[in-house]
Amino acid sequence: MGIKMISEGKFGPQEAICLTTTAIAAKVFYTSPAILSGLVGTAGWYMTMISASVAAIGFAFTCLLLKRFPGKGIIEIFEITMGRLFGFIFPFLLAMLMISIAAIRTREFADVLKVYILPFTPTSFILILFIGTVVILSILGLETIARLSKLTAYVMAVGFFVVIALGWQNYSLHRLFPILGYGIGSTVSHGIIRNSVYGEVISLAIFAPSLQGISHIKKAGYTSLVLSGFFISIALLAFILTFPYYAAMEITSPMYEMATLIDYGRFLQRVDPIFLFIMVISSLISVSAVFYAFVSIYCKMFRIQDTKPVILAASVIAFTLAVSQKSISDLTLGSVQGLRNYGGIVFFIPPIISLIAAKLLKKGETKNA
Amino acid sequence: MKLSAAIKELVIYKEPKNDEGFELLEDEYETDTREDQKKISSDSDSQKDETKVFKSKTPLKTEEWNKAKEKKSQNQKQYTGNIVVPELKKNIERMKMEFNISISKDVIIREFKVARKTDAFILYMDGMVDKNTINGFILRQLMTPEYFTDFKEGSVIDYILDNVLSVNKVIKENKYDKIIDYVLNGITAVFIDGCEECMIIENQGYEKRSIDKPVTEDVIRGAQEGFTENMRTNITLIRRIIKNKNLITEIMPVDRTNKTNCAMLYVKGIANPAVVREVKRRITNLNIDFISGSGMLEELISDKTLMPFSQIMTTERPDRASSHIMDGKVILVIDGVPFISSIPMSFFETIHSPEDFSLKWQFSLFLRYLRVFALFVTLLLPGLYGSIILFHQEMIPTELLNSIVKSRENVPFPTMVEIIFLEIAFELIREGGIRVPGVIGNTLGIVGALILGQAAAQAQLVSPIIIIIIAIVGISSFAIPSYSMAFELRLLRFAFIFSGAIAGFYGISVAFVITLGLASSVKSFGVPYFTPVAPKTKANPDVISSLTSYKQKMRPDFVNPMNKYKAGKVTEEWLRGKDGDKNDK
Repeated sequence: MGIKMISEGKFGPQEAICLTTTAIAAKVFYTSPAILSGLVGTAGWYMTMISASVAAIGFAFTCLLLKRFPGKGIIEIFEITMGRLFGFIFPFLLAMLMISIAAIRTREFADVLKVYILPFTPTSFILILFIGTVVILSILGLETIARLSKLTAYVMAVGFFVVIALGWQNYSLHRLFPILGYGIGSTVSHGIIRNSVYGEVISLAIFAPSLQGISHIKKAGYTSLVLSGFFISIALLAFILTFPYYAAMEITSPMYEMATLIDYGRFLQRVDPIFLFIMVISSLISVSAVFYAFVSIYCKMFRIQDTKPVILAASVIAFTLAVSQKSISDLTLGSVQGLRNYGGIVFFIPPIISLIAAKLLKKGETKNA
Repeated sequence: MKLSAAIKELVIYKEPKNDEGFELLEDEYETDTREDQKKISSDSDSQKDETKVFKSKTPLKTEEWNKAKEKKSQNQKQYTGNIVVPELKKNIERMKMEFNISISKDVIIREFKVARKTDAFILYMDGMVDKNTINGFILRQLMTPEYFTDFKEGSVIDYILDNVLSVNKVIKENKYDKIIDYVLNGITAVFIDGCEECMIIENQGYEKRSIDKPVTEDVIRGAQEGFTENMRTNITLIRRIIKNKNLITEIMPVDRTNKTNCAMLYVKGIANPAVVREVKRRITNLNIDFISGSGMLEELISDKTLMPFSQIMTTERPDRASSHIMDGKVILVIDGVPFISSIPMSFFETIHSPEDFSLKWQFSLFLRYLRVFALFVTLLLPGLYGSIILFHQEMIPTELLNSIVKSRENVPFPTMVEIIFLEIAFELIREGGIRVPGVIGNTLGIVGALILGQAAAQAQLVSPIIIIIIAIVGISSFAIPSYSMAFELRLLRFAFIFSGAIAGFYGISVAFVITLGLASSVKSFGVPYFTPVAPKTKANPDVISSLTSYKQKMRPDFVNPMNKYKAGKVTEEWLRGKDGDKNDK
């Protein structure tokens, strides 16, 4: 028995890589680097590689599960392996996580924008404009979001490296020390716990029917983990080289702050406009991908064929969740931390349980599994 | 006027004359013009009439009923059949009725006798045929008995076709509707008494514009020929470039009443049959009376007509059209339109210019990047300027900020009003320049822009910097080779100005993402708009960067051509030491 799927179109591995990399790496523009300085000191730039490795292991299990059920998405597989009840609980948890990520990231973005760029603009206005765009992109569909991410990826990558390269004048190597941060134990443990930073890679399993086979999913997943790990690591390294770690903890958006410090004489100074465009575009694509993942899961859970009503309703939920955050401190120290610490459980554990169930109950194709 | 009559007129009351003049009343002569409904209604009317006859005169006598039935069948025989009848008089009557000869004076019916014996008539549209052919090669030869001395028995028409008429293209036709279509297209029909067919003689000879330089796609190096309004001439221009026996030309009418001809050209064996079938399906299934211009046809056959992005490429250059055909695309040549449509298209083709292929690749490369820059300037510059002034003053270097502030200090209007005012003024000058006839148009545009700009700056209504910005934007919009794309950007620019005004760079980024998202969702005959970049497909190094010709070996993958390669593994085989002319053996 198969679930009647919503039609989400098709896209190739390159678009999938761009989509997932943008969805993962966009968070480096917000408050996370500062939080990381508080947790691991100067070791953030390689701690993130540990997180990426853990996420890669989690993703490997997900790939094993997908391999047993060719052409099927993870939501359908949950139901096949775990039955209707558990097959409902896991997608439900995943959906809740996705909408929470979308809402919290939207709010984080709005707060950063308000702090640095639009101090007199009401947060709700920024949120409405942002969520409105996310709704339009979601209505246009997954295929469109994937293509958009591919189109903008080149420009964003160039802009990112321009900001990093121009920040060279402010880098001081001595700020990298103590290189082990607060100790290797703390770095490794935080690295393992914060694997949810790369959790968006699981969206490839949600959108699996839109990709052309497990080999493409694997390729897209691992490549996007490597690329996003590289981008996040480079950004964290640049930021640690620019600010002393004890001061960095106090900065809302270190990357933005870094861009404002660039000064090469009378004319070439402050490249924050470039940074701003990268931040807004990547945030919109990132939230759209996560938001659409929620809509997709929800529609598959309840066998809904038309995504539009769900998109509109979900946007209201996302907006409500975003405005319900009391302040930027509550957001960064409460919700964001919560997501980073426990998100990985929802992202990577259910596929492992499902894989075990499939093995025990001998479900799916086993010859190559 | 007599005195008594004048006094009488003064004293006696006269009713005023009704001098309302002509007034078109709502229900006068109004009928439902939809053909399908008309057909249904006419059917029901005839049924109504029948029932009326039966109802009003019930019970009918047998003779009356037979009489009515006979009359009806006679009428049907005379006017409703579609096949040419042997009786010449009936054919004349039928043609007179079909062409409304009593009112319409440009349809010519000339009766004569073939070889001074058999009655015949010739039918053509005045002004659309070559009269020399009619006088010298049709009438003279048909009326001269000497040409018929060998005729003994058999079909007169066959004899004439084989022995009498010295005209290159003559066919036989026996269906009235087709004959009417031929005559409307400037072809001559000859009916002969006793024949159940008529002769269709191709001797079109209407006035047409000669081949001229392309107006919107002019180049310095490269061919200087542009398409004209004549479909046949345009097909010939393409055929002259593509000398390939597999170049197929299918001609079909695109509208219902006007029967505008449209030619679909493609190379069999290169173009994907699925694309050919789809284009044909869309064109032949249009239910509309009249199509005026290629823009209307494009709208009617495009996937998403509500999107502002053009989904069909147009060109007025035969060389460009030919290169599209050789890439595996389908070309539509519409009668009366000097632009052809190329299907399917990709966004990146809009920044390609025909000149790119006439220059060395390094120059083309430079020009391509310049055009991409122009595209962004046209779209974003006014919005960015507005955003900086309103929201992000701290983001610009202090010296630049100082000069902007100084130039604006005496201007009484808000920045956005300034931008909108000058944008509209520029659009007016551009539009006015097109409408004003001849050379004055260009002069008016330049003089208007100069005087208006300088006067506005001197009167301190606008700042000089905004004039510079609008001028740069205007020039940039002209640097975009595709007229449709330039127009799209001109329109979208206002959306960016507005979004910049409400939320600065954030608003512009949002508008950019929405625009790009909408464009990404567009497909041109099933081909995504941003292919071969998103989605990634195989392509020559000719998407934005145009590299050297020997690297351009593939046809665009997005059209799924049947033959993927347009060059061999090694394009320059002479480098391998191959010698001589291929024909010298």
